[in-house]
Amino acid sequence: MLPARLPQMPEVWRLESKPHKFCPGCGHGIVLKCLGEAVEELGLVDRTVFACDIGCSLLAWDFFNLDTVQTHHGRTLPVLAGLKRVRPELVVVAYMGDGGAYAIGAQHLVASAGRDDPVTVIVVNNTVYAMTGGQMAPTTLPEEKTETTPYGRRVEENGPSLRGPELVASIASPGAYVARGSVARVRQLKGFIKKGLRAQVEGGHLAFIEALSTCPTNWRTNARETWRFLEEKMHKHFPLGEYAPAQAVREEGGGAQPPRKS
Amino acid sequence: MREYINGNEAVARAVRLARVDVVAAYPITPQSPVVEEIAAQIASGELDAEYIRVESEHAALAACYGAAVTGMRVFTATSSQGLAYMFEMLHYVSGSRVPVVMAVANRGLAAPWTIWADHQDSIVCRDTGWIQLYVETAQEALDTCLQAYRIAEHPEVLTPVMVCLDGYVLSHTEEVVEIPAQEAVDTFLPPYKPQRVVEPERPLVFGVGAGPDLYPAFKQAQQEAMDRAREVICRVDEEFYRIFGRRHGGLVDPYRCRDAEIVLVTLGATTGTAREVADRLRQEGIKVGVLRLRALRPFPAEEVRRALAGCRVVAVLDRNCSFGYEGAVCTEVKAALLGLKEPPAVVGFILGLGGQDIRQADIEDIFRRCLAAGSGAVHQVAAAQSR
Ligand SMILES: Cc1ncc(C[n+]2csc(CCOP(=O)(O)OP(=O)(O)O)c2C)c(N)n1
Ligand code: SF4
Ligand SMILES: [Mg+2]
Repeated sequence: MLPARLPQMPEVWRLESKPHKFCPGCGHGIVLKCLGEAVEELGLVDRTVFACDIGCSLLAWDFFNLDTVQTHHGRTLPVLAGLKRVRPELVVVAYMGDGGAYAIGAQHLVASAGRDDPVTVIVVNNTVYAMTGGQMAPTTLPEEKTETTPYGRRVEENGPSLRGPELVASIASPGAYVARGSVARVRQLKGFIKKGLRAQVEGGHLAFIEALSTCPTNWRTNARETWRFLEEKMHKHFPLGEYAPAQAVREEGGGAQPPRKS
Repeated sequence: MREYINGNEAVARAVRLARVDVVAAYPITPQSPVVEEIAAQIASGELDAEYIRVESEHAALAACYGAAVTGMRVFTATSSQGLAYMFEMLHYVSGSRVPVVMAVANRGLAAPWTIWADHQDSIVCRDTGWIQLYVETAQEALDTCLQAYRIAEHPEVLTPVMVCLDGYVLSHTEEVVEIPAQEAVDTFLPPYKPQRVVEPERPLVFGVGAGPDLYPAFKQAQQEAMDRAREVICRVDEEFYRIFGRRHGGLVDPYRCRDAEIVLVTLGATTGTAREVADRLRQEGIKVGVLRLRALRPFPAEEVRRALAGCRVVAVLDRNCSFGYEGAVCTEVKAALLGLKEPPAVVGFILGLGGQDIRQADIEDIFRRCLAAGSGAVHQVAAAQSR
């Protein structure tokens, strides 16, 4: 049952599927709200296709009044690459988790970035495989406890925590858009998503936006601890901002340089 | 010691007791608790093993393969989509004859998306060259994982083993499980002594390229190893019985089949339900029995023929569908009965797809439908009951 007075929501939200299926305190809803508003404000509602990966992202399969494809785990990008190739007038959004993007789907992310597929990728980074119960993901922070690192992630054994936008920026083509936002900085995040949609629509380029997000269920944190983990630990390890593609930097400045943060 | 644990935990206990050296796995429902439990055992020092938190199931089995060619005892576990994603490596491992053991918490395959139990995931892998054992209880899951290493590592077999347990019904349901003592397991399952391993001093090639002149010989060898595995599976189960006082039927597990008019062929956890129904119908004077196939590969054709030769109708319960034909087990049972002088009629039932409950009433219905079936007619009811 919907409450009598609804908070303001993007029109593209499918109201019949609300309240949504995410846990209380989950960041997914915030990212999706930003995306919904961005799609609306750019006037893209009637040509956007939303594709979700397997992970808690799949809980968004009926979130929008948009054509929606639910793909299998890690494979959202090749599915959209195929879709976009034959319907270039559509605006396609890949919505995936850090596990889908950086673990099982890493090869596809690398290939899509390499081809500069005109797709807007949104990766919700909650540092765990949330849907399966909170196991270690590539993004799990050093010392973070998960179901498969019960005493904390040991960097000597599992390597450092993977930074996605930095990785993508290092291989993306000039013109591609790369950024990292956070559900704790909603306006900034929405701005990044808008720019990411524009990069696809106007430039025909790949756009990659990582959204730092919360998973109180698997982190086993209360509201305050959840926010603290996000703003203190995650923001520190994963710097927010836009990341210029290294190839663009190279063309401008000549020679190999680390990706520039702007 | 007895513990109240589920099938996933039972598998993890077996991995510890088997002193596995290397585990590589990617989480998936309903298998995840297996790998979480193993991670906890390694982290707490209960199990001295390497645990590689790989990026996918394809990588999991590849890592297991890499570790196994050095002669290590390795383990992985998966389900459904994960097993499907391993498909290429399944052949690679079996063709290279490395004794990997894997637990499969059975679950249906997408699309549409499901996390619930059926046997489609492992049934479609029956031609990958892996031994497949389907268990009925958490206890059997534990025992069979231990047996699996003996079977896989047997020099006459050297073939990987899949231990299949129904998702949720076994993987997530607690029961009282007898945990064998470590010393007894060490007697039953001594350290693996591989004959051929990657060693710089004695170079070997694993996974050679084989032209048409060589390739068939490799496949012939695999097929022969599978044939030998039949006996090894039975012997290992007997030896297990001598040490632990439990056995699980070797290749097949017949129940009240001897004088049965109708026998239901099953895999996995549904068998218990079927036995209860059989007991009830027996009280009514209806002669029914249940034949559980513990091994699907190698297929126990001889044992199946022997168990079913005297009955009038064989019903086969498939929790899978070979689309365009029938339930896969039904086909195999029919083939096994071919050539009998008076073959029983075989009726196939596809039930329990994607977690659909198989209730006593459903099984009773199967028996009663078979009761009405004429003798000699081999036909097929390839449809799940709609309700
Ligand atoms: C091939 C395959 N392997 C494993 C799984 C199980 N699985 C489902 S979701 C998931 C991880 C999800 O993590 P992430 O992508 O970070 O999304 P989140 O749930 O955290 O939002 C896994 C491992 C699967 N569905 N398919
Ligand atoms: S498990 Fe975590 S990511 Fe998934 S819906 Fe719940 S809070 Fe969100
Ligand atoms: Mg995640």
